[in-house]
Amino acid sequence: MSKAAAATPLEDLVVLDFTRVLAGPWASLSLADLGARVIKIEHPNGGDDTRRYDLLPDGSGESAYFLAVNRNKQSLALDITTKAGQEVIFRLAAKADIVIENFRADVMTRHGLDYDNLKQVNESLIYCSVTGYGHSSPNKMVAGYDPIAQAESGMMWMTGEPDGPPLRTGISYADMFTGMFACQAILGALHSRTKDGLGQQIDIALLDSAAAVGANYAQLALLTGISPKRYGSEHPFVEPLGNYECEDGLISLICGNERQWQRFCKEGLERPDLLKDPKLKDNASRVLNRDYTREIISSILKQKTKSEWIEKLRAAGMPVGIVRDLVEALAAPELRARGMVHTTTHERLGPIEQIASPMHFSRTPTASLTAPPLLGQHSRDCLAFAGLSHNEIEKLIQDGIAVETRE
Amino acid sequence: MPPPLNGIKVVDFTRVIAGPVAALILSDLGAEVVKLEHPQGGDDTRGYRPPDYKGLSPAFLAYNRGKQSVAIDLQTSSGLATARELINKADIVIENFSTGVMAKYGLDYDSVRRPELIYISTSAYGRDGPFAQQPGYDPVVQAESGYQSLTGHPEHEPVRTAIPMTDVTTGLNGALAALAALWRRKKTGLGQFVEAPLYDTGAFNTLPLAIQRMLGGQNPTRLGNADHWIAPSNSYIASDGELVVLTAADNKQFKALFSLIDRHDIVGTSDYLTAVGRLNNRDKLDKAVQAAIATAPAADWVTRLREAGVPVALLRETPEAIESKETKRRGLTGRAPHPTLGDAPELGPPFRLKYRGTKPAQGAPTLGQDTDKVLKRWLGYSEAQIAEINGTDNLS
Repeated sequence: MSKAAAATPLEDLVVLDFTRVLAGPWASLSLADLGARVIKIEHPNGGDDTRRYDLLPDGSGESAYFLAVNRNKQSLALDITTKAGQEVIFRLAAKADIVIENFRADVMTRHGLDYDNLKQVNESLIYCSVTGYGHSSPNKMVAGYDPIAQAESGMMWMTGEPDGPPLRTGISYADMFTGMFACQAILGALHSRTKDGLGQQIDIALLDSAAAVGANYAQLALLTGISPKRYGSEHPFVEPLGNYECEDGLISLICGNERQWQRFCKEGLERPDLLKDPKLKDNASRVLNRDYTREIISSILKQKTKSEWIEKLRAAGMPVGIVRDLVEALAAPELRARGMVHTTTHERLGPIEQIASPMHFSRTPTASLTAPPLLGQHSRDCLAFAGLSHNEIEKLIQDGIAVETRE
Repeated sequence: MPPPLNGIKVVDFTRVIAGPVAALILSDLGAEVVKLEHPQGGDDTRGYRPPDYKGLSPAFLAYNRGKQSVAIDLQTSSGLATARELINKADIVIENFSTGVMAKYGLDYDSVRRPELIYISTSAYGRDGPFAQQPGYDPVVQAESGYQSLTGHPEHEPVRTAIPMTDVTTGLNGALAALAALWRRKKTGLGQFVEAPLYDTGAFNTLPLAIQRMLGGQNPTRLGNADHWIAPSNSYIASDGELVVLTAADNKQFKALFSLIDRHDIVGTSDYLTAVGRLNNRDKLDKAVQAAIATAPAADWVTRLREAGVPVALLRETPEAIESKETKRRGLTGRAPHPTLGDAPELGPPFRLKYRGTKPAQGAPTLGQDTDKVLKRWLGYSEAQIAEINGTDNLS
């Protein structure tokens, strides 16, 4: 445990993490941030694929992608295709609470590391599989990736300008939702376990998760069979909502209820006359008269700068913000004021900044951040934790079944 | 087997999307969620119409299945007293009002705290600091977090995503924090105050791209349907005008793709055998794939590419997605009883717990539908006390 004195919410839990790329690692990131000991088991030959994505320009050989989603984890570089490697996993499983893996549906079975085998050594084990389409799907052997799930779930269809093509979200949201749902299910299963001591198997799919967040659009499609169109930055059910041009760029605003609309017109735009216009009288009317509404608002907003409007509209109690690029966003006072940026010390890179967990606990804080590991940085530690003797550990390393990286 | 949170009581003051998503997850996992709504109109999303369905709002129906609606007016003394009594029976309170509202009613954490109570606040910018008073909604935080600037085509303006990503992920983090706090309570008996603000989640979600910048890299831009790390990964137009989405994320998939389209010259170029090498040649690779995809209809490509082991999809509209064989086979859609619709279609939770299922779906409640039932069962109210809470309004 690090220097933090207070207990973290999940500090007594041990997670064996076989996941790579984003969906699975996003799940284990939350578990790690919440204080669980996450042992990331990577192939000695290169490890997680993302270690080789878009390398940093500094020649360090590190990839930003890997660094982003693997902090607070320990790396055990172990070849699980070997018998000796599999034996280590059994010894770790006996001590673990949770297994997460996101291989194709047959991989863990082929290595004898599927749920039915591992539960023989630990009946309280919670075993979460993350795949593209789910273990019960006809596509269970098909690899899944974020853009595929975004396309197949309808998420891409809904996103983009009305006259432009469907658009992928700029962040891999299908992967991230999947990771978050995996986490919810794992914690749910932990609660069940306190009743009878038994673990269980959890089956999470990228496509399920992407479909599940279709929420209000999906609900409408289910009820009526109507496909939502693309509205660009606007919203099919709410007006005003979205991006508006000011004199010097874009702001984003919303009137989430009629009280906000009234304040927007009176104190924000200083146009109380708009409240008397029958075409604007309530949200339903404004949605029906969308072009008319947006034209009036835009013509007023164009007369002042972004920062003038932000000040004025915030004073009126309106939800409003500047459309920032990522550099502006990372320098934003809101982010810094919340203490959301932490510095950790990476084995090779030295100090690096990270965005902290968005969950804030009053009594049991999230884990203080430790840097993402080098491949196999914690191999020796983790093998000792599994109960292997010094000689056993040396032999695994000599045989190349486990690998240790030192700086 | 009962679902995992069977027996856990949640009092839910949340409205719109982020808070209701958190309560939805707890409900799906088996908690009893009592949604307190203002008798006049209730949750704002009940008014997110048109479009509507038989007078009801799809937005409300989507995020409130499985919850019970209790309509009470916090501005009346009896309503407020009832809210306090309900909180006293609860394991978890969730709220997402503007900062100061719960305190004004004496319902903030410090006013209602008991050692075992878990109190979740999904505010906009957090409950303390210089921005605590600022209201926030999904489109605003999509804009401020830099996320919007990453979505869209490079030559066009940024686009908000149709699905309210910041809201939904904030709700998921709120539920996750509640589950973690419950786990800790099992060990120690102690609850706590937990915050999962919209803005913090919005920023956290940019992590994979943000860290690149934080390490001194370039300011990432929007790339249309291409990926920031993987090439080729994009949407391509087939001969029938339909869009095919594919991604070749590793060497195996890369070789399979370019062998299938007979571009052995590309397969044989050593520059392309690393992720970085492919990324540096994104345009060239995209052009080669587009030229091939344009020669046959989309459905053919999906079959052929899938056989070759390349992750691929036909771009679907929402109804196609919902009615697809994958969605059906996974049992994601179903119907749930609803008081006025008879039954309503549902899109189930995306997790499967093998031995203890999630809770069977119930349709979203009408406003105040469960007031009488909850007040009797939780608080043992008499008919007369219930009549006082209900006033003279007919709340059904």
